[in-house]
Amino acid sequence: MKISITDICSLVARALEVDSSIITAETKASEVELWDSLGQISILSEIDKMFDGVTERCPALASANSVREIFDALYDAV
Amino acid sequence: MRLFSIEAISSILGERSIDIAKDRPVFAPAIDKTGIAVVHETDGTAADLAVRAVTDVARQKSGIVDTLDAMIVVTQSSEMLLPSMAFEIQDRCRIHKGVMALDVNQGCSGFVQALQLAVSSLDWAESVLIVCADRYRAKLRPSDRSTNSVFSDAATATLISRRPSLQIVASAHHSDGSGRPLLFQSHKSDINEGRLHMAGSDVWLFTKRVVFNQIERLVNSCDLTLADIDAVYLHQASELVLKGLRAQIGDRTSVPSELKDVGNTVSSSIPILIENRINQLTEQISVLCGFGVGLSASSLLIRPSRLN
Repeated sequence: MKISITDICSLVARALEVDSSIITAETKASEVELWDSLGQISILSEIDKMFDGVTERCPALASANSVREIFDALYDAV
Repeated sequence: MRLFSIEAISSILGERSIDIAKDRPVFAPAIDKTGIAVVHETDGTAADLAVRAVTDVARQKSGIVDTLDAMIVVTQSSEMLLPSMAFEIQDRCRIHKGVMALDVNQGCSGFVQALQLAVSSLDWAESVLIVCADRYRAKLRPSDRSTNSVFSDAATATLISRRPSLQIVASAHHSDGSGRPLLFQSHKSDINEGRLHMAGSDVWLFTKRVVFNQIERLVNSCDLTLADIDAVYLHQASELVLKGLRAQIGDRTSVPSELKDVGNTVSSSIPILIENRINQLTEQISVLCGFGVGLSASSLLIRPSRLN
């Protein structure tokens, strides 16, 4: 399955329930108030929904603190 | 063969209810994710809550303070390094001095582990009281949405006796100390300012990796499948965690929840969950499962003793 950085931006915005214009390929967790520990779990949960439980195979996602890091961690796993 | 009965459960929540939407509007977006609308905080100590829970059980079961054989106090909120909280409760509740009283330093797995210890003690004890008491809200950073919108202060007292009503058929435990940095609080103020640290996403992944597998293996070890289990009583961590586990466990097994108006009460969450379901427990094949600090997970498969 091919993923794009745009897919990840949409996924993060959906999980955090923020306007999609806020999340870009360069967005870091520290720049978005709702991207805290709870937000990170929401993102992981959304990733699991979209990519069929991939988080169990990809523990690096737990500490992926930017859109780019999530994309990189997921790219080889899906 | 481990036969026992749950004679009484009493639960006490922190006296101040915090309606997250109303009282902490900045945390309100978390409610849909945590499933928790109200948390409870106390200005007293965890021992104060515990004394109220024990007093209530003593009111329900008169004479127990004079005959109790053992009291296991599960807490991570002692005001004192020594002696343990169990001695404060023994003294304040006027429990007779012939009781064996001790603390177990454990979090959300603590009730399940204490229940296994309590039932094992019934070889020599007639009755054992499990007290769970924590005041986690005093450990939190006020600005930390992930923990402030989840944890409640609470205590429970659960009286176990030798009367044959239930049976522990099998147990499973997981203790992984390499997860210590993911959920901790230090006595030293220079380590995370002495506040609770919870790496929520790592702990969430731990529950996904370990907890369901533990439950499934436990059930299979008894030549059963999950479809044979009437109910799984999970530690009430948060809706995000429960939702994931519920999906793995499947629709045929009941997975009750008491999160919305209670919050995550650490080791008290399972006793609070079963407090109003003791009768169901004596009619069902059930799994009790606690998980968290350590990192740890513990599960017991329980069934009515009449099914022997």
